[in-house]
Order: sequence, then structure tokens, then C-alpha cells
Amino acid sequence: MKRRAFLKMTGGALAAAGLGSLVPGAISPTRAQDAATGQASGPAAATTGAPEVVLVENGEPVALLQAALKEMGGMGKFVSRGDVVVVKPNIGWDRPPELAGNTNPDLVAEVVKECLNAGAKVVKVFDRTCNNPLRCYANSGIEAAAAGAGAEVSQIDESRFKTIGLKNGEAVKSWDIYQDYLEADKVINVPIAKHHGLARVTLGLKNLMGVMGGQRGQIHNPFDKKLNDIAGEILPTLTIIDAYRLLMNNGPSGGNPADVKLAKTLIMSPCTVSADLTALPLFGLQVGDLPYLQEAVNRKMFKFDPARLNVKKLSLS
Amino acid sequence: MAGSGEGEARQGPNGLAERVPWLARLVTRLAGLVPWLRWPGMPGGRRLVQAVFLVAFVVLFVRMRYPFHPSPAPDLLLRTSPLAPLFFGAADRAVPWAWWPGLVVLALTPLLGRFFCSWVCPLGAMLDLVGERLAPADQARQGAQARSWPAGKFLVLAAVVAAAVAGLHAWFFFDPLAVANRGMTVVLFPLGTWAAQGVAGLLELVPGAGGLAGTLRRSLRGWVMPEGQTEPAFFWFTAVFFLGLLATEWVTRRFWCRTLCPAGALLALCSRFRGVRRQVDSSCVQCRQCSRRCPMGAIPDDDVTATARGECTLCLDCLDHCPVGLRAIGFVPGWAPWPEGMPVPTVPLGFAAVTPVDLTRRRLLQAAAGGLLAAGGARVALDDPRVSSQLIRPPGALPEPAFLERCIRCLACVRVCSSNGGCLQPAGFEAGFPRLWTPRAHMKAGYCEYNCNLCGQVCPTGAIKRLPEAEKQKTVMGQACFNKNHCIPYAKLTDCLVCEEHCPLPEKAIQTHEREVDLPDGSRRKVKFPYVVPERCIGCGICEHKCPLPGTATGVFVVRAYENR
Repeated sequence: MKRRAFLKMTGGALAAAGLGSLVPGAISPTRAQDAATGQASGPAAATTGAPEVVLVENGEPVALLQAALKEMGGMGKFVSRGDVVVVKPNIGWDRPPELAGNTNPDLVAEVVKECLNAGAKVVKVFDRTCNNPLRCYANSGIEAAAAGAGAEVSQIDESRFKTIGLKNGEAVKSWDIYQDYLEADKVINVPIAKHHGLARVTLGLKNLMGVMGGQRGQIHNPFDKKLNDIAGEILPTLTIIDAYRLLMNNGPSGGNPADVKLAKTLIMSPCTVSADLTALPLFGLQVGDLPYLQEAVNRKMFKFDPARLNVKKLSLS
Repeated sequence: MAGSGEGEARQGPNGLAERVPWLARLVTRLAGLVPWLRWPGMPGGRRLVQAVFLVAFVVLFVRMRYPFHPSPAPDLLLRTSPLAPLFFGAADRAVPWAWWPGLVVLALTPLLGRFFCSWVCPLGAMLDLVGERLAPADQARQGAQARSWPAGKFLVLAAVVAAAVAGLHAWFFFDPLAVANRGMTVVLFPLGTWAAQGVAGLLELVPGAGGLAGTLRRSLRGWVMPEGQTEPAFFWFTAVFFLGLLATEWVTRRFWCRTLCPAGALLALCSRFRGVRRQVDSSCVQCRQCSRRCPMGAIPDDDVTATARGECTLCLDCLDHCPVGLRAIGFVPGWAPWPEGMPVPTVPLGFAAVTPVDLTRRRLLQAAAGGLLAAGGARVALDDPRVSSQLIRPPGALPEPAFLERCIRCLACVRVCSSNGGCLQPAGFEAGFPRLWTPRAHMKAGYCEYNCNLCGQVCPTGAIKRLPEAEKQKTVMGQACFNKNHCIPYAKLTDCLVCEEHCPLPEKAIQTHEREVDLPDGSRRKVKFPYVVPERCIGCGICEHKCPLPGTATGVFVVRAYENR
């Protein structure tokens, strides 16, 4: 009887300890930090001959991607055999693809396929959504498309964020970043080009907010500094801007078909800032109109000098 | 309500058997089959059926979420409530066909008695689980000798009927289906999933069990809880209420069903002339095991040949405990002649055969008067504007008085909302007793998903209208207001616009006005100041939910205004 009582008590204590381990923060150390900072100088940075930015017009998402990759020298330039690759689309909103709130699902699926063809061990797709994550994943069409292409599509697990230090942070010195993103060998950022009330336009840099944890609303002021403080630490290997459908107004959530403009364009660059700069004319804007992008340029967060940007433009017909 | 004579007991109303012989044969055949419902060789077929209904109830509950499964209807078993068709049918002056499961229960009860209580009712199943598995097997808690007050449930029924006639709907506080679903939503599901996650966390500590823990986590996420852990408001009181109700099993088996449940009382009344009754024949050795083990105390200790028709739930436990087996206890049509050589039951019959108490007319009138008094009190009670101005109802909720009558506090809407925007929470005491457990939107807890209309889809009573998505998106729950003392652009002269970013309206209901402002250092800066376009705002509250300012200092909040109901 006494032994039984003792065992019961011990069991209870163990159960309590088990519950305790649910508390976020007890995550094993990773090679995350190096991976994230290393990405800025991925294999593509060393290549010569390939254009710095490719802009392809007048095609369907899959064809646009194929054309851009061909110009860049193939996905093999960015993804090596055995890599763990994160493909980060915008799945932020509970909107169907036609309303241009999220990245085009066909494009995401094709990026996944290309990564796997290039020998990626696993391709992970996720985004920290603004609306209900199940709804966003389903209604964006991205969950089905990416999983169909062979990606590991998962919901964000709020216990899997890791605080990283921001050594160049001006307004913020540390932030939580999703662990899978930090641990990835390569990251392919696939934003959709959209109107955004505060930022004017959301592109590659702002899409990285989808791997940021905590209260993201606080990044909004001062937005120009905080976004670059954090995004500058986690720049991706490759940025592919989906400009097939542009959301010209009422972004970033959208919802009005009248605000969607069919631009049938895709922009690809190993440099996020360069890709973002190349997308601005689609909205009739210049870098001065987007203080956060101007700030990124001022901080020299780019790989290629914006003043002498080598943009390869081509039109499919 | 004194006994009505012995002739009935000896012979029963025999006219039926002569007038409709085929029906009489059918009932006789059916009654003969009852003992076989135990399923020979198994611990109890009744338990199997009961378990199937409980599992179905839990499965339907878990499926009550996004992505939505309209078929089978998530509220199908909620609609087995026998009380709801009575009250809603009376209120609407129409046959409440939507409650057909409850109507089926009511239709079968004159034949089989309170079979619902031990075969179907999920609350009964939960009570059986607790009473048989958790509570100690104490003889004093079982059978006719256990403490209970069978008259109580009739008084509860009388009180809630009187109150309803006078305009106060309170029966759903005691409706077993609403109670069970309320307990599932606020108490059992959150605690259960939390415990399952705890087990996974515990397994992770065990060397080599990491894979198992991962599998558990994944299956939990895949099958039970794709969304985050739910933390409903008003947890503690509901937990005390619901777990306390389950804990009455430590006092008496089926204490709730014997003493309090108004659905049980209604079914007992319907069992007055039960088509199938329990019969004890001359092989009975008078061991009194049936009387002492009957969970409902339906068999008097001093005469095991008698059965309280309104208490017996046809659970067949008496057969299991009868040492002679099937030979001593059988089931026969209510009019079948009493077996030769057996003494006629000595306990008084009539109403006392329905339930083993002397339920006096005075008591019933007192209870009804209590219900009337409560209704009158509720009618003259003044509306507390501090509450009514704050209670934001789900989109499609009926106008407040109709809503309060219609909402049975089953919290199905809260359950389905927890897998969506998560704004709906049960109202607590702050809302006053008549609004207890009604759904209210807490925009800090969640927000109303623009594309979601599921609360109306799962509402079993129509208290929340079943709005098509496009209509729901135009249904105004309230109105967003900026608190310029807190809102960052106004209070700190710097941009923010998180609210505007999230506003889901195709033409955003939050617009901005850009102005240049003077800063303390003498410089000037352009700031975007947000404002609400009242004609567009539907009060979904995502602005309040996503506002980066904490707690009550939020820069934008939804008030109950302009709601269309």
C-alpha cells in the first residue's frame, strides 16, 4: 500500500515534468544561426555570367519559372544534392488564388519540383499566417499543390521558434525565427507582389515576416528599421517574386477582384533587395516611395549594386 | 397521485391486445427479445450500444470544426434531446421536425420506457463511466437503498415548464445533451487534449520513445486538434459545475438521472403505460440482488417483483445480477397477465409505479410557483447596460430576447469557433444569470474569420441563423472604434496600420488619412492616421485582435453597435 502510494506520487511528479517540457524554449541547440547567415553567400553568389536578376513576362506561372531558371542556369545552381530546402511562399490569407492574396499555388508546386529534381533531400513549405492557418493553407491551394509536388507542408508549431540575436539591429536586438527556417540548408523565398497599406508594396523582404515569431504587429513601428533589422539576418538563397497576378489595392489581404491585375510576370534573383527593386515598376513606384526598401539599400543589404543592376528581361509569347 | 388500483397490475389494459392483435403480437415479440439485447456471451450489448453512442457523440464533437463536415450533421446527437422538441414545439406552435431524433426518442418511450437514459444519452454514458470505473464499488451507492430524491426531477421539470410558460427559458441549463456538450467544449476537450500533449511531452523524456511521442503528437494534430490548444473563458466555474455533476456518482449511482434531470422526468411521464415491462416469475429466490444493484433504484427492496416504470431505464443490469439468470427476470408486454403463483407487487401503483416517491400536488405547485417567480423576476430585472453594451453576439444571432430563448447553451458555436477565429467564448457571471454560457465574441481571444459561417451551421436551434457565406460577410456584429489615446499613430505620431493590413473587407473598412505632423525636435513627418468607414465595418474584430498594443490599452476595439440582428 505504501509502495503503491509512493509510485503514484512519483508518477504524478513525472507527469508534471512531462507537461513542463511542453513549455516552449526547451529546444535543442542547432546549427541554425550559421545556416541563416551563410545563406547570404550561397553558391549563386560565386557564379559569373548568369544575370543578377531575371524578369520574365507574358507566360503562365510554370513557364515563367522555367524560363527564369534557364536564364539563371538551373535550380542546381542554388540547391545542392542532399540539401534541406525551405520554400517560403506567402500563405498569409484565407483567400483563393484568384484574389492574389497568396503566392500562386502552381508556381509553388513547380519550385518544389525543381528543388527535388536538383537533389534536395526534403523540401519544406510553411508560413505563419495572418488568418486561420488551416483555412489559409487550404483555400490558397498551396497546401494541396505543394504536397502534390512532394513537399513536406506543415503548420507552424508555435513552440518551434528560436530567438536569434540581431548583430546589426538598430531598433530591435533579437527576434524569434522559425527553427525549420534556420536549420534549412537553402531557402527559396516565393512572395507575391501585392499592395500594402503601410509598406506600399510587399515583396521579398516583407515576405520573410512569415517566419518571424512573437507579436509581429510590433514590427510595424518603426517598420523600416525593424523589418530590415530582422530580414537582414535571414536573407534567403533565392527570391522568386510571383507577379502573375498583382494585387493593386486593398492589400495585403485583398478580396476585391477589381483590385487584381493580370501581369503574367516573374522576377528571380539570388538577391532579395535586387528582386524587390526590379518589381517596383510593376506598381509604377520607385525606391524612394518605399522607405523600408530605401533603408535596405542604404544599409547595403544587397549582393548586387542597385546602381548597376544587371537585369535580364525576356518575354514569352 | 395515489395508487390507482390492483386490477391494472394484474391484468393491465388488455383492450389493445384484442383490438389490434398484430400490434400486440409485435410488442410481445419485441419484449421477448429485450433480454437478448444483452448479447449472450458478452458483458453487455446495452453497454456496447451506449458506448457507440458516446463515441459517436465525441466523434461528432471533434469533427465540429474547420474543415467542416456537414454530413452527418455535427449536431445530430444534440438533437436527441427529448426536452427541446417539447419547448420549441410549444414556442413555435408547430411540430419541430428539425428535432426528429428527439421526437423518435419521445415516440419510443411509451413502448420502452426511459431506454434513452441508459442506451443513448451521452451524459448518462459519462456518468456510467465515472460511476462504474472511477467511483469505488460501494453497495450503499447503488440500488434502492442509495440516497436519492426521485421527486426532484419532476419538480425541476415543473419549475422550468412554468418558467417557460411565463417567458423565462431555463430548461436548457438542465438539458442533458446541452450539459454534455457544454462540458465537452469547456472542460473535457481542453483538459483531454492538454493531458494528451502532456503524455507526449512525458514520452519525450523517456529514452527511445521519441518516435512514439512524435507519432502521438502527429496523430493528435491530424485527427483531434489541428488547431492550437483551446482555452475557453469561464473554465473554472464550468469545470466545477460539470465535474461536480459527474462527481455525484460518488454519492449515488445515477444521482443526476434519478434526482435532477428534467429530460428523465419527461421520459418518466411518457413511461406511464409502458408497452414493455419487467417481469419476475416464480423461480425468483428473493436474493434482492436486482434491487440492490439497480443503478436507478427502480426496484423496491421490499418487493423485487415491482418495478418503477418511470425509473427503469431498461439497462438490463438486473438480468446480469440475477443468479438464476434469464429464467427469473423477463420482459413482457405491459398488459400481459401476472404469472401464476407470484404475489402481485405490494408497493402502491399508479403514479408511484412511475416513480417510487409520493410526489405531492403541493410540492409540484410549489416548484411551478418557483419557476413563475423566477420568470417574473427575470422580466422585471433591469438590463445592465454595462453588460449589454459589451456582449457582441455571433454573426446571424437572433435579436437578443429571441436569442436568449433559443440558445440552449450547448456551446457548439464556441467549439466550432475555436478551430476558426476563436472569438466566441461562453459568457460568465459578468453577463448575468440569464445570459450564462451564451456565446459572446471576445476580440482579444480571437476574431471572427471573414470567410467562416460555421457557428450558424452547427447551432442546433437556429439561435444563430444559418447564413450563406456571402450574407455572413455582410452581417454586422459590431463596430470598430479607435481609441486615439492609445492608438500608436495618434498617441505616438508614428505609423503602425496593423489593423488596416488585416481588415478583410474587399474595400477596407479601415482607411488612412495621411497628414504631416510636427515632431518635438522641430522636424516634420508624414503619418498615416487610421479611421473607420462605418458603412463598411462588420465588427469582425480582427483589427482589435491584431492590434500590437496589449490588453485593455488596445488602440482599436469593437463595440456592440449597428449590429443587424
